Amino acid sequence: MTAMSALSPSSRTVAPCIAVVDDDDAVRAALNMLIHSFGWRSRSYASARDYLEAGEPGNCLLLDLNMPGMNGAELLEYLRQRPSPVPTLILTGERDTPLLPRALQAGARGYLLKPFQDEVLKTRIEALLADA
Amino acid sequence: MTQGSAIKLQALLDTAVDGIITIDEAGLIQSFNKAAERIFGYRADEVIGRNVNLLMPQPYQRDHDAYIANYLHSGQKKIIGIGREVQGLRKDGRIFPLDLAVGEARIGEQRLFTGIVRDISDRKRLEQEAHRRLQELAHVSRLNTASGLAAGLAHEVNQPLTAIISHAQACLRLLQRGELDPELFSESLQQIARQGERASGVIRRLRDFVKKGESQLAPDFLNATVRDVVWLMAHELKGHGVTLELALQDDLPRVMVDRIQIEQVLFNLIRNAMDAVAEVGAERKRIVIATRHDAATHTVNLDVRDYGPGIAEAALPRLFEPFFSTKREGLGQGLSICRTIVQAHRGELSADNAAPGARFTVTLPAPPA
Repeated sequence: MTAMSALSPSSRTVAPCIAVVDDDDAVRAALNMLIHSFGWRSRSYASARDYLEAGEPGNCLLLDLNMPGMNGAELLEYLRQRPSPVPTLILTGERDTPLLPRALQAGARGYLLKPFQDEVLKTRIEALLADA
Repeated sequence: MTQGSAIKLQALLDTAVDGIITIDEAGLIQSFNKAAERIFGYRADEVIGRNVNLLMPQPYQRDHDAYIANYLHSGQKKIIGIGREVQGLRKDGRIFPLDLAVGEARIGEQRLFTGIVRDISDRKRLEQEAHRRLQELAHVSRLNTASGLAAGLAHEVNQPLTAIISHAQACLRLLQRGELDPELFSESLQQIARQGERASGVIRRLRDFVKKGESQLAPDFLNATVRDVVWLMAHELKGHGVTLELALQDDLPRVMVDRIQIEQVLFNLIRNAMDAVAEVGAERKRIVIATRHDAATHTVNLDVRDYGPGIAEAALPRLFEPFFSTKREGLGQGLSICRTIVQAHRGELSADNAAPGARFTVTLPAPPA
C-alpha cells in the first residue's frame, strides 16, 4: 500500500485494518476489543510465523517483542527486506530488553510500554495510519 | 599392677592426644590423663575419686548413675563399644561438644570403663562457619537471581493488567457512544475477571516463593521444585528463544534438601544451559531437565542437558573450581557454588558431554523406602 492510498476516498469507506502479533491470548483479545472501540478493524496473530503465513500485513502492525519462535525484532528484520514495510509500533512490557533497540533499528516507528493508556495508543495508531 | 607399671601406664596415657578417663562401677574416676586435664580444665587430683558425672551438663549429670546401674543390671549397652557425640562440662562451667568412645575392661573382679574423649569445639565451629558461608553464598546468588527474575515477573503481571485495562477502556468508550453490544460487554467482563485471577495467581506464587525465606533442611519432592524454578524462568527462556522440556519421573521419593539452595543450583544450571545454546541455531536452542530415581544406589538424579557446543575436554576437570570460567564475562562462581551446595546435601554434581551438548547431573541421596 502506498502513502497516498491510505488517504484515498476508497480506503475511507472501509475501516483500516490493524494487525496485532502477540503470543498472549488475553492481550490479543483485549487489543482486538480496544481497536474495535476505536472504530477500526483488527486481525490478530499468535506468532510471527502465523502473521507471515497469512500474507495480510494490515495497514499497520502492533507487535510484541518477546515471543517464542521468531521474536518481534527478528520479524521486523525480515520485513524490512520487503519493498514497503508495514508501519509498526512495538508493544512491550519491558523497556530494558535488548530486543527493543534491535526492533527500532529494524524500522519500528516507536514503542509503547504495556499497560498503556487507550488514548495514547489511539494517537500512535493514527500516526502510523497517516504514514502508511 | 605393681606401682612401677602403674607409673609407666600413666606416663603412656599422658602422651595420648585424646583425653582418657577410667571409672569404676560406681562411676568414680580412677584415672584422668593430661589431655583430659586440658579438655576439662581440672587437675587429675581434683577429680580422682569423684563421680564422673561432674564432667557432664544436665540432664546427663543427673541420669548418669542410673545409666551405669541399668547397664550393670541388664547388660544393655547404650554407649559402650560405640562412639557418640556428647556434651562435656568444663571446670569453668562452659559446655562444649565432644566425641566420646567408651570401652569396658575387667581386671580381676573389678570392672572398669574407659572413656576416650576428644574436644570437637573447633571442628564444630568450622562446620558452623562453613554452613554460614554457604548460606551467605546462596543468599548472594539468590539476590542475583531475584534481580534477573524481577523483569520476568513484572511481565507476568503486566500482561493480564494490559488486558484488563484495555477491555475496561474499550467498554467505556463503546458505552459512551451507545454502541456496546451486550454480548461483547459480557465477554469483556469475563476476560477482566479471568485476567484479574491470573494476575493474583502470579502474586500468590511469588509470595510462596519469598515466604520460603527461612533456610532449612526438609523433605521435598524435587519435581515440584523443578517446576517452580522453570515457571519463574519461563519469561527469560522465551526471551532467549530457548525451549525447555521436562522429563520428570513420577513418584520420585522425597529428598532431604534445603529447597532454597537447591532452587539456586537449578537457576544456575539452567542459566548456564541458556548461555551454552546462545550461539547455536534455533533448532538446538533446547534444554531438557530430567529426574529419575535410582533404586540401586538409593539416589534421586537430576539432569540439566543442553544442546549447545558441549564442554571442551580440557575444561571438564576444572569446571567446578572457583574462579574458573569458560565464559568471556564469567566470574567462575556459579558452578563452584552449585557443587558446594550439592555436596552439603551429601550429594554430587558432575558434568559430561552428551554429544551434542553438555549434561550436568545432580545426585542426591534418597532416604531408604
